[in-house]
Amino acid sequence: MKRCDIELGHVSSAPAGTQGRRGGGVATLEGVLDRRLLIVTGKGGTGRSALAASLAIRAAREGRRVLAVAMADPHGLAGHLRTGGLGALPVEPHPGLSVVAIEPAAALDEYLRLRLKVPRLGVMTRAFRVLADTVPGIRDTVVIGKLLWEATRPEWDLVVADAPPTGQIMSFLRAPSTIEGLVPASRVQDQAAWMRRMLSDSEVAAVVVAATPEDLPVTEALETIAALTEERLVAVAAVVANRVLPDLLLDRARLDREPPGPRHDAALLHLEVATRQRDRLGELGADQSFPLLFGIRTPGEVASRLADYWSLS
Amino acid sequence: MTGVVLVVGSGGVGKTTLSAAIAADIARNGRRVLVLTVDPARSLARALGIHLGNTPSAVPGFPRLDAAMIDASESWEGLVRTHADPATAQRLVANRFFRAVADRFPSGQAYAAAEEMTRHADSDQWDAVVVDTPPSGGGIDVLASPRRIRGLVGGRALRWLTGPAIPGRRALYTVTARPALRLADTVLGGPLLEDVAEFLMDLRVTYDGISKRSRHVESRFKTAATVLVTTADPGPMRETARFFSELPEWASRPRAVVFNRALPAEWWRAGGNGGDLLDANLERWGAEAHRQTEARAELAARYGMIPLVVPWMAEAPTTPAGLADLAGATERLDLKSLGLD
Repeated sequence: MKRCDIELGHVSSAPAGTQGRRGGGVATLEGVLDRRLLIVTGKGGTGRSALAASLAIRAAREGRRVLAVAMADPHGLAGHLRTGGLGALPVEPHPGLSVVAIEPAAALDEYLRLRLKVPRLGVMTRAFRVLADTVPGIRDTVVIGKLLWEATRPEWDLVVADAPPTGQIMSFLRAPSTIEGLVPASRVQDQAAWMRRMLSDSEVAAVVVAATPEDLPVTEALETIAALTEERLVAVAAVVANRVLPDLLLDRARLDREPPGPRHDAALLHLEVATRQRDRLGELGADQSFPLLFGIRTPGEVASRLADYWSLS
Repeated sequence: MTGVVLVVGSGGVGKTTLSAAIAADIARNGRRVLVLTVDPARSLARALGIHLGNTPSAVPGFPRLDAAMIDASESWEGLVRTHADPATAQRLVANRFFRAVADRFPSGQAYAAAEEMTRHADSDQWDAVVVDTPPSGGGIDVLASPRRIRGLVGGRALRWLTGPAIPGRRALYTVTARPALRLADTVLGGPLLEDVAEFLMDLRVTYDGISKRSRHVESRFKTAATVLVTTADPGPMRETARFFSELPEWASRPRAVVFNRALPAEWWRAGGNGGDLLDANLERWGAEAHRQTEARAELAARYGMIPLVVPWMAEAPTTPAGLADLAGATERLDLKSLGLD
């Protein structure tokens, strides 16, 4: 087992969260954590991995047995949870928090062997690799399936997935129903139908959508939420805003009296960025805000610090 | 010959804005330039003229600057129609897997970008083509896409299915593949794999054409100037390391590294001792500025390149002139410095 220096100690005073709730779900931290699977997505560069890692850390602090899963690129989660290289075998950087990466080839073999109970794996594997490379949705279904099977295992109270960005997440979440419609009645179709039902059960699975308060990330977050809701694929557990500037309680008149120099310039930049952010935050309607962490260097520190802020209410 | 500028970098670092800025600056310096962009923000789309489509159009009020957006699905149909006989092309386009493959094959959008870039660069209508790369893979996907697409239409799996290609004849299932396909179809409940095999064999017809074309696309990458964009955040910094190790396989080493959202280095410990609100604010921004200075020093030490600096702005420029100013203020982003003049 790997040594770990993630701080999992309980937080005495968590910062207050913002209000707001999403259709159907009650956006308290307890409410969010009381599921088997949380899928964290957001546009590239919004801090998805950091937020997924922080959510996993926080859930572990709250006493849950957590599995954090890297659905695609494992580097983000590996850095934020300080695991070193991640592979298909879980590592447990801290008691109560395990981390694993989905490797599509390994997941496909597992799917064939355990779910489809395919005989003579050697010959079949090649045929299925051809299929998986060509029929869109197969590989995505296998990845979603892997998440859901982990979520049903008694070892974990909660599975937190560091998901692909918003641009790609829909094709993953739609994959089971795509496959269900594409293949005739069979074990494959049964499996796909099971996945679709599990995903759409808001007591089992939900998505956490992250955005930074900027033009494109907010637009993508809102589009994703709208599509998820309209297609009833997965419930939205929470919408979170990341890298939000704290209020600078300074009026413009005071700033105008300040002589030129870094004091003036830093305050001006802060006010201008914060003003833009406020507009975007208004559009986003986030359940929870996470601050921009000034001067924090390592991903591990970022995730530990963000974990303090999870306090939906 | 048309020079190609490839703008690469992790998602969310400002590639799209910077691509437009570099192009606008080139146009203002008297050259004809096309910017190929992927999914621009509303404000940028507005700055470049709202009618961004697959076909290049002039940016209103800004001479010599044209813009176009990359559309993956249209390009795929074009690709198939170019490289297959009409009957096969028709069968392919009508195939139920086609739309799905075109939309969702991981390298689809990436190859579409590469293809569009090459087509426009070969037309010699512009002195330069500036290419914004799709977010996934931050640019490497685009560079690797010609090889991947050859893998899709002529890869090992397909050869295993169909045996070696015989020109002018549709391949047949190989003896090894046929029993496996049947077995697989019993699990799938119907002739799905056989359908897929049919589809792949039609696609196989396009192999020679696509193979030749994609090698030409690759040669364009080799002579392109790459501009790598990053910020001080861990993700983009990690991606930057990846670019430096992986780029040489596909293209030239980056000609410029742009460090976006930069803060003045002198903010670090610039505050007074008053301990008022402005000092406290400067202190935290100074800490961020210091982290950035360290990140830039790390880049310089590791790769022997001094990063170009684009300051942190509350809002990206909303006019072509503003975009041109952004690139113009940053030295060494002109064609000459990028080695294309």
